[in-house]
This record gives sequence, structure tokens and C-alpha cells, in this order.
Amino acid sequence: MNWTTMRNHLHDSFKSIWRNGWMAFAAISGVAVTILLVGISLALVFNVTKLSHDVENDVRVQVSIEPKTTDRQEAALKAQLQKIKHVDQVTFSSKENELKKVVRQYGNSFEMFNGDDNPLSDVFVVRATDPEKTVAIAKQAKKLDHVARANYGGTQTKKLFKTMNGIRNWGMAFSVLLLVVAIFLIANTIRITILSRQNEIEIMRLVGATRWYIRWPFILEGAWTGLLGAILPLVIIDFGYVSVYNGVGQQLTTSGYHLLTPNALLLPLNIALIVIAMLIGSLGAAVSMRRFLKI
Amino acid sequence: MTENNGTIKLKEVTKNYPNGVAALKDISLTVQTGEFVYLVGQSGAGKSTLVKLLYRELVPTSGEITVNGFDLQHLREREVPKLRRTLGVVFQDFKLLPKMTVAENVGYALHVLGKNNDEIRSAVTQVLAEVGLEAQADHFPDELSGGQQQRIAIARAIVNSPQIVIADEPTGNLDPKTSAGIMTIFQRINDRGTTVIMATHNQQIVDELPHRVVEVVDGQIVRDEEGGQYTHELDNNA
Repeated sequence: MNWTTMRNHLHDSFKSIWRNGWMAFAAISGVAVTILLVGISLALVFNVTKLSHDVENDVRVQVSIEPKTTDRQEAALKAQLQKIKHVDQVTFSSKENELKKVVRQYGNSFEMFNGDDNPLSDVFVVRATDPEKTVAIAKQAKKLDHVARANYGGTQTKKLFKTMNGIRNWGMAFSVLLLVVAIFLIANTIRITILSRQNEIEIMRLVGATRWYIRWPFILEGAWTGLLGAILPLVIIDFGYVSVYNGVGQQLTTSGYHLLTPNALLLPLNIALIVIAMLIGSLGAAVSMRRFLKI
Repeated sequence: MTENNGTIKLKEVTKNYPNGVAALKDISLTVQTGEFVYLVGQSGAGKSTLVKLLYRELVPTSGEITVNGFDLQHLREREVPKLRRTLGVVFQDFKLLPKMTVAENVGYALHVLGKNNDEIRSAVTQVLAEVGLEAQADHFPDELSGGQQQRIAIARAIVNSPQIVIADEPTGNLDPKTSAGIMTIFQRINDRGTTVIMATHNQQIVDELPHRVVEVVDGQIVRDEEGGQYTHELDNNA
């Protein structure tokens, strides 16, 4: 295809959106709603993926030391823990330090357990080289002397992973479903614009236009419909995400987890959504064109 | 292919529609380069089916058709546009695009071929002068009379200098005076050496501008007469 033809197609496709006024508006609105929902869904999926990685990498074994264990025995225990396979790091945390964590997390009322009333134990926090080895490390640590408990938050972590996986999978499935629905929505809308231009297609065929020559303006029209439909949802998603990041993100940070920063998420998400919007627009147009090109 | 430019050959062509109607039965016809042929006959006789077969809107049930050197029986779908670029087709209902100006409608056939704007502009200006519409170039079809709209359609059909012009009832919607004007244009096109094949049941134009007459009745050619009248002389005498 030469440059003149391409320029003509581009010109025709823009002119067609303009001429088809309300129909084009309906298709653009359809894309906008879809892209907004897909965008929110993808932002959620990406963040859940990141959080689940954070949590996964953060799984540690809390080895509680029996009361009345001497310093020498503690040192020996630390050495034994370090020898366990796949152990990366062993850190000591006193029972006072553990209480501070509880107070930080659950509130000042737990300060009443200060001093001799502190029911907590000194602990060794053991981090695995690979999060998957955590369970095995906990089992081995439990067998050692002077170990009261070796806890890795097993059930809770599993539940969390399950929930996160659920959100991720359902989010992706929801996005795919939305995209398929959007393709048919656009296909139907463009079908109406094609019907109104059936005369034009017939004349194109009569004067010897190739199928691709006929298709191009409609496919480009679909792509522009997608692009125009993506603008408003992108603005909403970008501003919305920055506010969510500044609000919820700060709260999560205090728990040691972080949402994806707007810089890290929004540029790739915007590009992906624009590409998706233009693709579903073009695909919708291609689907509608099929029956009109039979000679 | 060059030596076949402007020729049409049909050999034992039959066309049956899926609903069982036999529109054409075993038709054979040869049209040489530069001929002017009227296809006459009553509505439903098979004239339009014959015309549609020529520009490959329809495919024959059996038989052979060669148009401008293209073997239509074996022509692949993607080659159909190549055939149509060598033809100009004119219809009773003009088939113009109402949202395009006269010049845009005419230039459309060149636009499709990927010609640049300068080439299109120059060809359109020339062809609009030929059909007497240069002053209306920027008007929209709806602003013009039926005769003028048909002139636009003819201009579009010839802007690409086709070897054959096919017309299906081009004067069907026009009054006698306007029809005469349209026929003058077709005659001029034919005088340049372009083959013209026209389906019509307009007795006046056939009788006033005599050319070869091919009469179709019930899907069969019953008369093929050089310089003939719309109705057969025997019928006239009866």
C-alpha cells in the first residue's frame, strides 16, 4: 500500500467517525466503560501480584525460646538454627521488642503487659533462602532443644495466598470476559455504521477496490474509536490510583507492604490499555466486516 | 490479455438461482472491441442477470465467460477487483454517495486505485467537462437533477478509461429528453473505441440511436440483429 492510499484511509477513517456522530459516540462510550473496568481490574491484579510476592518473600519462622534458657544455650540454639538447610538469616528479638511490635500493631492497651507481666518469649526470627522451604525449616527448628514453638503463620499465610490468587485469577478472568464483551459491543456498533455505508461498500467493490482497501478505513475507524474511548478512563484511573496510593498505600507501608508506585504502574498500564482499546476496536470492526465482504 | 481488451465472450452460459429460477439458459454471445450492444427484453427476461455476470457480481452455473481477457469461470475472488478496474458500470439508480461532492464521487474510482490527489483532480476535471458537469463539481448529488446524477455516474464509470462500459437501464429513471442527452454521452464514449453494452427497455433510445440489438426472452437470446429496432420488424408489422 502506498503512502497516498494510507493517507486516504486515515482521512476516511477520521471523517467517518465524525460523520457517524452518535453511533461513534455510543461505541466510544462502550469502549470507555470497558477500559475503565479492565483498567481497575488490571491495577488490582498487578498490585495483588506484587503484594503476594512481598508477603511470600516476607515469610519467616518465629522460633520462640523456652523461658529460663541461658545466654549460652541461646547462642548454641542460634548456631544450630543457622546450620539448618536453606536458612538465610537468624535474628534475635527480645520479648520486650516483641511486645513493642504487638503494641504497634494492636494498640496501646497491650502496654499493660509491660515488664514482668510480659507473657511473650524471646524469639529467633529465621528467614529462609527460598520462601517455599519455610515449612521444612519450622519443622526442623521445632525439634531443637529450648524451642517452645516454631511458628511460620502457616494457615494464615496459606489463606492469604489463596485469597490473593483468587483475586488475581478472577481479576484476569473478569478482564478477559469484559474484553470479549467489548469486542462484540463494538462489532455491533460498527455493524450499524457499516450498514449505513453499505452503499459505499458496494460502490467500492464495483470500482475495483480490494477487500483490504475496503477493510482498512473501518479497521482504522475501530482503532480510533478504541483510542478515543480510552482517554477518559485513563484519566480517571491515573488520578484515582494516585489518590488510592496516597491513602491506602500509606497505611500498608506501616505494615511493611507497598503498593506499586504510580510511576511504576501507570505508564505500562496506560500503554497496555491504549493498545488493548485500539485492538478491541479494530477486532470489532474486522468481525463486523466479514459478512459484508462476501462477493 | 491486451488483444482481448474490450471483448466479451459468453459460451453456453446458464445461470440458475438457488430458489430454482433459471435466469439464463445456454446463452452464447460475442461482443467485439468498440461495439455498442443493446440488451433488450421485458423485465424478468434475464438482462440484469446477464449484466451482473459480466462484472462478476454473479457466477454462472455453467458455461464460459471471458471479459476483457479475464476468464470469469476461473477468476479467483481476490482477482475480481482487477477485472472491475477494466470496466465501467452504470446503473439505473446511479449509486452515488450522497455525502460526497460530485468531484469526490467521480474521483472515488481513482482513489481506490491509490492515485495521488493531483492525478485524481486532473482526471476528474477532464471527465466532468466531457459530461458537462464541470460547474457542478462541488455540489452534492442531491442538489442535482436525475439526469445530472446519471452523468456523475457515467463520469465515475469512465474516469479510469475502461475498455468496456456496462450500463443496466441507465435511462430507466429519466424523462425522454434527459435520456437522449445521456445517450449522446454513451455514443461519444463508444466513438472513442470503448465497448458499450447496455441493458434497456427504453424503445425510443434503441430506435433513435440504432446499434446491434440482442433480445432476451425467458433467459434465452431470441434475436441478435445489427442496427436493429427495439421490437422485431415482424412484430412491428403484425
